[in-house]
Amino acid sequence: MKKIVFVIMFSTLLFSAEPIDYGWDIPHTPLRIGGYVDAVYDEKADDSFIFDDLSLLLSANKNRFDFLSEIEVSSLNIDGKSNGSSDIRLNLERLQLTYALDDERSLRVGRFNSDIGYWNQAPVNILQETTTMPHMTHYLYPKATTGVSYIEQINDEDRFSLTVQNNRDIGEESYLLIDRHIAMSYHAVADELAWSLSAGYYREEKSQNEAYYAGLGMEYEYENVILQSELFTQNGKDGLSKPYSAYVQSSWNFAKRQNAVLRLEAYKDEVLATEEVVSLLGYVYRPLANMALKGEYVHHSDLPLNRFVASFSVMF
Amino acid sequence: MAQELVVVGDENFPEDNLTKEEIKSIFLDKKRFIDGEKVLAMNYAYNHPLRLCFERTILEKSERSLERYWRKAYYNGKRPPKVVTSVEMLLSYFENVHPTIGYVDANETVDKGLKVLYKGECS
Amino acid sequence: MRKFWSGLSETYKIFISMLLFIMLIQLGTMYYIWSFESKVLLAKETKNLAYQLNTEAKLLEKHMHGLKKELKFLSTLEVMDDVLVKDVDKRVTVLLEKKSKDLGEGIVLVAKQDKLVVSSSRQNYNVDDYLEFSTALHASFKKEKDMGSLHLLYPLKSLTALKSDNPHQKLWVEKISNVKNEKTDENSIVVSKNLKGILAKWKLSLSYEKESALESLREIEKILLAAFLVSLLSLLFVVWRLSKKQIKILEHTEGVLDLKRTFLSTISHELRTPLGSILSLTQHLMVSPKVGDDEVEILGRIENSSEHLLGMINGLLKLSKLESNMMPVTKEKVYVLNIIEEMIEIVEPLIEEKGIKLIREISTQDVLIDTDVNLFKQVVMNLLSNAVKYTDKGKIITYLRKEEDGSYAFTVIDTGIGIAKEKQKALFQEFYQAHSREVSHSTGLGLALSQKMAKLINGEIIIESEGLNKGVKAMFRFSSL
Repeated sequence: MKKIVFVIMFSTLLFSAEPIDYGWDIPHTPLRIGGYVDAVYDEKADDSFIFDDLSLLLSANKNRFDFLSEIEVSSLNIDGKSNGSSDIRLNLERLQLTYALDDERSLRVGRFNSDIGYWNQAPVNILQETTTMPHMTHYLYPKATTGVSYIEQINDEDRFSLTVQNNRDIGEESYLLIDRHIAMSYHAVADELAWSLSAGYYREEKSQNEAYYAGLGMEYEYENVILQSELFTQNGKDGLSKPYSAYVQSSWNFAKRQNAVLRLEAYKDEVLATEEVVSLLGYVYRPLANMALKGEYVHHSDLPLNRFVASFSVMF
Repeated sequence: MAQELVVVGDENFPEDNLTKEEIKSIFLDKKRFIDGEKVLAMNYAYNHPLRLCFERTILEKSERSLERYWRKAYYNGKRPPKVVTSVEMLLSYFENVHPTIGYVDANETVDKGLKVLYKGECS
Repeated sequence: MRKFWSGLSETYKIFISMLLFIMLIQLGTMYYIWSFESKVLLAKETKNLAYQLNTEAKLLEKHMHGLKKELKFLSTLEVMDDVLVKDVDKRVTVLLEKKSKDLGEGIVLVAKQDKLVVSSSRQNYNVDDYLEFSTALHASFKKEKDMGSLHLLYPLKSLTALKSDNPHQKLWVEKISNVKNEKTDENSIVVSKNLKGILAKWKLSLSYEKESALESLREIEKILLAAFLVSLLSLLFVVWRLSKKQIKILEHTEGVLDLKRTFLSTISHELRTPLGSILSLTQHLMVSPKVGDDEVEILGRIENSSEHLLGMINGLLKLSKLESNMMPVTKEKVYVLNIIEEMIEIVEPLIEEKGIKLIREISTQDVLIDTDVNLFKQVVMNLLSNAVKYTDKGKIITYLRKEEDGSYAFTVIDTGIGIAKEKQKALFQEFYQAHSREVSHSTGLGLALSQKMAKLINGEIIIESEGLNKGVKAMFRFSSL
C-alpha cells in the first residue's frame, strides 16, 4: 500500500509537472479522486476551532458522459467532540451526471450547485478569497438543486442555463431544503469583465414558503486586482423578504502569492430583522496553488458579530 | 522579432479554422467536443516559454489567474490539457491520436502534416 | 508387598500409580521410536516438511500476486500515454528504471507497442531467463484506446535459489516436467508442490538432509530416556521412604498392642486378687452374728460394688484374651431354640417388672447347629439385656429366621430409647456407651465384646436404629461352625 502511495506521489509530482492538475486516478476504474479540507478558527463561533469539511471529489469522464460527486465528511472538533450525533457524518453535497448533447449543449441531472451568481459556483473555502461568506449566500437562494438543468454554451464565452426541480432534495443541507425550484441564468464574458444575471423561484419543503429571487453579478479581473460584486433581491411570499443584499469585494495581489482583500456588504433582511453594513479586511497567502492561509477581520454595523477569523485550506 | 505562435491540429482535425475564443474554450475545458468528437488538448510543461506565451496571448490569463481558474474548474469536474515535455512528443501525439490540438513555434509547421488553426504572436 | 500397599494412604497410592503410568508411557514411546525409527518417523518429518512447503508456496504466490498488482497500477498512470508516441521524451523509460530499481530482485520492466519494445528499464537481457507478467495499456484520455502492453520480467534465478532459514534445507522452484526419472537423493527428504497463478507451470520444492531431520528426533529420544530415568529414580525414592515409614509404624503399632495386652492382663490379674479377697471378706462379714441389720445393708452395698468391679475386670480380661485370640472355642451340637428360650426366661421377669410386652415369634422349626454354647449364650444374652435395659415402655419382639444363604438370624426389636445416628457408628468401639444415661450394671464392653464373640463362632451382630426414641433392631446372624 505504501509503495502505491509513493508511486502516486512520485508520478504526480514528476510527470504531471502541473500545479493545476489535481486528484488521482483510481486504478481499474474510470474514476478520479481528490478532495479538499479546511480548518477554521472563528473566535465567536460555538466551537472556536473546527476541522471542517473534509470532502471528497469523485469524477469520471467517458465519451459524452461526465460524472461528478462531492461528499462531505463533516465536522470533527479539535478536542474530539463532534457536532452531530455521531462522530463522522457523510453528507452528499453533489451527485451530478452531465450528458453532452452536442458541442454546445448539455443536460445535467442530479444534485448540483445552483447556477446562480459567482459565489455559488465556488462555495468552498479554497476557492474563495475570504473565509467568511457574504450574507446573500445564506437563505436568499437555494445553494443546491436536485433536478435537471439545461446548459447551453453561446459564443464559447457566454452561457445560458435553465434549471428545474420538482421533487425533494436528496441532500441533507442544514438549511433551505426545497422541493421546488425553477431558475434561469445567463453568464457572459467580455474581455476582462464577466457578468451574470440570475432569477428564480423556489419553495421550501417544510414550511412550503415560496420565494422569488433575482440577482446581478460581475467579476472584473485586471492585472493584480480582482473585483467581484453581486446584488440580489428576494421576495418571500409570506411577507418576509430580503429586499436587497449586495457586496463589493476587491482582492489585490500586492506581492507574490499574497492578496489583500476588502469587502463591503450591505443588506436588509426582514427575516433576521436587520439592515446593516458589513465590512471586511483580509489577507490571503497561497504558498502553493492548492493551499491557502487566510486571516480577516469582520465588522458588522448592527449585529454583534465583529470578530477575527482565520483558516487554512488545501485541495488535492 | 516577436515569436510567432501557431495553434495546430492533427491532419484530420474536424475544423479548418478556429477562433481565439474557441481555442480558449478548448484549453480551459469549457468545450470538449468538436463536431461530436472529443478533442485532446496538449500543453507544454508549465514553465515552458511557448506555453507562457500561449497563456498570455491566446488564453489571455496570467499565471495567478489560471491557477484560480483551474481550482474552480477542477471543483466543477474539469481537467487541464495533457502535458507533453517536448515538441517531438507533441508531434508524436499528433500522429497517433485524433483529434488533437496543440501549439508550436511557427517554424515547426513546415512539412509536418499539421493543420494550422490559428496564428498568433507572442507579446 | 500387599501389606505395604494396603497400609498406604489414598494420596500416596494415587501418586505412585501415576508415576508408574507415566513410566509406562515413556517406555512405550521409546519402544515405538526404537522399533519404527526409520519408516514412521521419516514419514512424520516429511509431513512437517510438506506443511512448511505449503507456507512457503503461499508466500511465493502472494509475492507474485503483489508484483502483478504493482504492474497493473503502473499501467494506469497517465505518463504511460507516451507509449503511444513511442516514448519520445523518455518519460516512460525514466519511470520504468526508477520503479525497477525500487522493486529490486533484478526485475525488468518493459513497455511494448504492437509487440515492439518502446521502453525498457534494462537494455540487454535474455527473455528466456525471465518469468513474464503482462498487462494491457490503455490511453488515459480515451480508455477504449489500446496502446500496447506493459511487462514485468522476473528473473528465474531468483526462483532457483530461494532463501531458507535452515542451512540444512534447500528451497527452489523448477519447471514441472513429465520426466519420471528424477534421481532421488538418498540423503535428503524432498517435498514438492505445484504452484498456482502465474507460476502455474512450476513447482516449489523443499529438501531437508535426512540426518538433520532425524536429529531432532534423536534429541527427543535422549530427552525421553532422561525423563524415564528421572521418573524411575523418583519412584524408587518415594517407595523407599514410604516403606521405611511403614515399618516404623508397624513396629510402633505392634509394640503398643503388645504393651496393651500385657498391661491388661497384668492389671486385671493384679486387681482381681485383692478384689476377690474384699468380696469374700465382705460376704463373710454379712453372715456373722456380730453384725447388725444396718451394717448388713451397708455390707450388701459394698458387695454389689465389688461384684460390679469384678465383673468389669473379668470383662477386660476376656477382651484381652479375645484380642490375642486366646479364647478357646468348643464345638457342640446344640438346639438353637432351646438356648434362646433359656435366655429369654432369665430376662422375662425383668421385662414384666418394667411393664413391657414380650412377643416371641418363632417361625421356624428347631435348628440344630454346631457352635460354642457359652459364646452363643453370651451373645444372645447381651442382645436381650440391652433391649430390656434401654426400653421403658412398649414392646420387645424376638424371632428366629432362616436366611437365603443358609445362615440364621436371631433378631430382637425393641421400642426403647434407640441409638442416635451419630453414635451408631462408634457403637462397636470399645468402652463406648451409646446411651449416656446411667443404667445399672452396664459396662461399655458389652457390644464390643459380643461382636468379637459372635465373630469367633462365625457370626455377626448388626444393630439398626432409626434414631433417638425410635427403638433398636439387633440382629445376630450365625451359621454352623
